[in-house]
Amino acid sequence: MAALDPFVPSTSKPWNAQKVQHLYQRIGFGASLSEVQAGLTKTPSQLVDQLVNAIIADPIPAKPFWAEYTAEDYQTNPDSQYQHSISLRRDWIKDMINGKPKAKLALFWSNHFVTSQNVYGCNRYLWDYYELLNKNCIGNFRTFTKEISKNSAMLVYLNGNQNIADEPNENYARELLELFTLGEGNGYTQFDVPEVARALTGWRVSQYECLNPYFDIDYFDNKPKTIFGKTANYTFDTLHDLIFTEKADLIAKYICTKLYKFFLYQTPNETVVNGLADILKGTNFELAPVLRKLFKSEHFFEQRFINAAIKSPLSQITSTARYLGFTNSSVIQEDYINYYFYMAYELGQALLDPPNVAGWPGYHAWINESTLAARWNFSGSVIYTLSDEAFNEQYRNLAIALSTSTTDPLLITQGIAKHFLNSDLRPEHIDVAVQYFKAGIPQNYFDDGSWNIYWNEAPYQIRNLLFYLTRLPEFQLT
Amino acid sequence: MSHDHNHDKMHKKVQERMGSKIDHGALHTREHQESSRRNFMKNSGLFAVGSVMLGATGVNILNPTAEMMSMLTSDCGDRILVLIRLDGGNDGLNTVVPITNDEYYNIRPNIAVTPANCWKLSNSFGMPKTMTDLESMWGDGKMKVVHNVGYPEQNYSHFRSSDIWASSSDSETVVNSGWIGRMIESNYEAFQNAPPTVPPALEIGVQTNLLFRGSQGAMALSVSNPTEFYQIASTGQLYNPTPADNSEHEKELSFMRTVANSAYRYSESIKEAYTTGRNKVQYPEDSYLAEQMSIIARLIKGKLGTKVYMVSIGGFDTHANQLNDHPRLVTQLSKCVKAFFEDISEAGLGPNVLAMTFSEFGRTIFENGSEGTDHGTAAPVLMFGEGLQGNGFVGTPPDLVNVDQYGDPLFNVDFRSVYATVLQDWLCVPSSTTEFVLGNAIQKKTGILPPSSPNTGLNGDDALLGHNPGINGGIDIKYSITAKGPTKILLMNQAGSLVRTFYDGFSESGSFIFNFNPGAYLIQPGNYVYQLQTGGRVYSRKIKIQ
Repeated sequence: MAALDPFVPSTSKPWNAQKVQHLYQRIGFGASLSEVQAGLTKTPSQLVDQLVNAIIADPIPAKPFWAEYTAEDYQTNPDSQYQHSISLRRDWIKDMINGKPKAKLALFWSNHFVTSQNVYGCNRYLWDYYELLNKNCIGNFRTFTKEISKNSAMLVYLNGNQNIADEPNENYARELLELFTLGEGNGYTQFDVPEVARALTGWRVSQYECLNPYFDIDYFDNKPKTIFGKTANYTFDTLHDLIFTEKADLIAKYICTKLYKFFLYQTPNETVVNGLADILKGTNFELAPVLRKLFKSEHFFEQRFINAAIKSPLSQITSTARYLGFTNSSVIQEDYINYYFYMAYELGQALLDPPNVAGWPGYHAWINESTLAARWNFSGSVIYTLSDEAFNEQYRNLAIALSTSTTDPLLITQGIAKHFLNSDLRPEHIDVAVQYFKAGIPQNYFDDGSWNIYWNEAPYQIRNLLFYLTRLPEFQLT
Repeated sequence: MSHDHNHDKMHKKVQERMGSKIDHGALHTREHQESSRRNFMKNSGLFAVGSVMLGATGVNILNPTAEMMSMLTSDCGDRILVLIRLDGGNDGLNTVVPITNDEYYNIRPNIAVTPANCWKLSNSFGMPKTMTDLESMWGDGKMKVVHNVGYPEQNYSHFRSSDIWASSSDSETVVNSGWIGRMIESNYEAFQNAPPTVPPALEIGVQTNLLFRGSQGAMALSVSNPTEFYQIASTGQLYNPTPADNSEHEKELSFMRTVANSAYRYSESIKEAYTTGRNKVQYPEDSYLAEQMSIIARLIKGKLGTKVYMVSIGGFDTHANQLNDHPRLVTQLSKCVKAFFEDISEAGLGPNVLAMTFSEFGRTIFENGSEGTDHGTAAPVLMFGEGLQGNGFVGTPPDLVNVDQYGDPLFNVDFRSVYATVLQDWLCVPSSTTEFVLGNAIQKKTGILPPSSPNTGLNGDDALLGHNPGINGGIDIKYSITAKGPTKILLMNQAGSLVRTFYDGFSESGSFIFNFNPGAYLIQPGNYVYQLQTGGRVYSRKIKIQ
C-alpha cells in the first residue's frame, strides 16, 4: 500500500531539519537542536527505530515510597496526599521537557482509558493507573484493555466497584464498548451493554480505605449471558476474549483511527488507517509495529502535515523548554514545574483529570478566544521559568548555532524563529520579530556595528524574541 | 565614550525592563506555588466574581403592569436566551416529582422524593424542597415545566446524545453544527469575513460545545474570565486568515489566526459591558454555575447585545449515591436561577430574558443497586422568565407502566419542537428560517410562550439569508420564499448592472440553497451584489468573488 511505504528521501523530498523536528514533535514533544543535528545523520527509518526502541527500553518510572499508602496512612498528614499526587504529575511533566516520547504515549492512553483522580481520590490508585499506562503504552492493546478493566482507578471511576451480581451497574460495560474498544454504536446493541456488565461482576475495591482490588466470586453473576448474540457463562477473561475475537476488525480500525488522529492529523486517511489496522490485527494487537509503520511512512512525512497539528496545552507549555534543550534543565525549579501543571489545567488539560470519560476532545476544542488569549499570557510565564542565569550561555550558544551571523539581528532572529516555529518566519512578521530581538537597545549600536551576540544582553534579547514567537499562531501548531 | 562603558549602561537599562516582567512572573509563581489546586481556581479570578458585591447605587424600576410588559416584550431585538446545560443526564423524576404516582414510589424504594419533602407545583407534581428557591418563580408565573422531552430512538451515549441535543439532528444523523450556530449563521451571512462587533452568542467555560457551531466554525465566543480576557487581548494584533494553499497546515494556521482575530475583536465590547454591568444580588458561594450566571447577568445588564448565552453545570450522571449528589446539584440550580432573575429584574430586564434547562437524556425510572440511576430517555425541560406569562405544564408526564423495550418511558415532546417554539416565539425567527435552522419542518409546541407578534425576526424581512462556500465547492446562496410565485436570482456589479442571471422561473414556497461555481459562470473576481426578486420585493446582499 503506497502511502504506508517507507519514506525515502529524494531531491524533491529531502531529509532535513524540519522533518526531523516533525517526527520528534509528533512522537514526543519536540527536539532540541542537538537532537535535530543527530537525527540528520540517520535515515528516517533508523531514527524512527531509535525512538521506538527507546520507548520500549525506557523502564517504568520508579515506584514512589507512597505507592501503597492506604487512606489510614494519610490520616496523620492529609496534606502530604496532595504533595505526593502533584509530585507524580511533576515527574511526568519533567519527562515531557526532557524529551521522553514515552511520556507522550502515556498521555495518549490516559486520554483513551480515561479515569479522573478527582473521582477516585486515592494515591495508591493513581500510582496503579500511572504504572499501568507506562507498562502497556507500547505493549499489547488486548492485554492493556484486560488490565484496565480491573484497574483500581477504573473500578472506582466507572462504578465497576458497584457492579455486582444482584445489582449490575452498566457504566463501565458501556464505555468499554463505546469508548475503549469499538466506538459508539459500532458492533454492539443496547442489549449487549447490561450483559457485558454481568460478565464483569465480582471485581471489588475498597475505595474509601484505598486498598487493592480483588475478585470476589460471591459477587460474580455466575449465570449465562448473551453477548453479540452468543450465549455462555462469560467471565472476565472470556468476555475480553470474546470482544477481541468477535470484533477484532472493528477494534483495530477504531484504535488505529485514534492513533492516526492523535499522532498525525485530525482527518484520518482511510487507506492508511486500514493498512495500520491490518498490522494491529495481524500482530494480535501489538502496538509497536503499528507505530513504527506510521512514523516511517511516506504519508507521515508529507509536507502538508508538517505543522498541521494543534498543540495540546501541555505540548504548548513544555515545548519552549524542549526546543531550548538545556543540558541542565534540572535547574528549572520544582515549583515552576508545578506551575506548568496549573497552566495546562487552566488551558483545559488537567493531567490525570480529563473532564469526562471521553477525554479531552483535543484539536480545535483546545482553542477558543479565551484559551488562546490565556496561552499568550502563559507563554510569557513559561519564558520566565526559563530565565535562570545558569541558562544564559546556553541561550547564546543556541543562537550562535542557529544562525550564520553573530552580528546581524535579522539573520539571528530568522535562525531562532526557524527552530522554534519549525518553518521560516513569515515575511509579515519579520520586522516586528527583529524589534523584539533588539529589545530596546538603541538602533545606533546596530548601525555602527558595535552590537554582537556576545553582548551581555544577548540572552535577554533571545528571551524577549521568544515572548513574541511563542504567541504567534504558528507556535500553537506542531 | 568607550564601547564598554556604553555596554554597561545599556546592560542596566535592559535589566530594569526585564525586572518588571520578572516581578510580574514571580507574583504569579508565588501565588501558585503556595496554593492548593482549589485555591488556584479561586485566585484565577473566575471564582471571585460572584462573591464580590459592588456598591453602586441601585435604580428603582417600577413594576411593569401586564400591558407595559407586553409592550416591553414586543421588541424581539432585545430578547435574550440563556441555555442552562445540565451535563451528565438529569434525573427528571426526582426533579419534577410525581407525588401521587404509586408506581414511582414502588420502583424507587430508596431514592424517591417523598411528598412531604416536596413543595407543590400542582396536585400531582411537586419539586424537592431542596429546590425551594424556585417556588416563588412558579408562584409568580415565571416558570413552566415541559414534561418528558426527548427524541425517537434514544441514544444512551453521553457524548452522542449531547451532540444530538446541540445539533438538533435525528438520532441516526450526524450533523456537525449546532442549532444556535445555524440560527446565527442565517442572520450573519458574512460572519467569517465581516463579523459583528459583539459576539452573537457567548458561552462561559473552557470546552466548546457543538451548540454554537455553524457550518463554517464557531459562531460564538467562549470566555472563562472577561476581565483577564480583555487585558490579554488588548495587547495583540491582527492576522490575515486567508490560507496560502489547500494544505492541512495552511488550513490549521488559518483556523488559529481566525480565532486570534476574534479574540481581539470582541474584547472591547465585552470589557465595556462587563464593567458597566453590576451584580446587585448575592449569588450562591462556591458554585461554578453561580460564577457563570453572575458574569452573564453583568454582560446583559451592561447591554452587551449578545442574543444567546450558555452556561453549564456538571455532575448529573448519578450512577451511584444519588441521594447525596442530586439534591446538591438541583439546589445549586434553583438558587442560581433565582439569583440571576432577581439580578437582571433589578435593572428592569426581567421581561427580556428567557432561560431554559436541557440535558442529554433523562435517567432510568428504576433505581439501580448503587442507589443511583443509569442512562435513560426523556426528561423535563424547565423554562424561566416573565415572557412565559404564567406558570404551567406542557406535554404529558412520563408513563411509568407502559414502557419501551429497555424499560424506559416513551418520550412525549420532541426537543426540536421546543427549539422551534423558542426560535419563533421568543427570538422571533421567521418560520421559513426555522426550517433552515432545525433541518426540517418542525412544528412548534403550543402552550410554552405566547406567539410573537409581529412575526418578524432577527432577519427583519430579509428573505435572502446569505452565502457560504458550498460543501462540494462553489458558493451556496441561501434563501427562503414565503409565497410561491415568480422568482429571480441575479448577480449585479457594484454599479447595479446585470452580470449574470442565475435563476428566472417559478418557485414554490420553502427554503432553498442555490449553488453556483463562479468559474463555470465565467465571473471575474471582484465585488458584486446578488439579488433575490420574489413576491414583488427585491433583496440584495454583497458578495466578494475570489
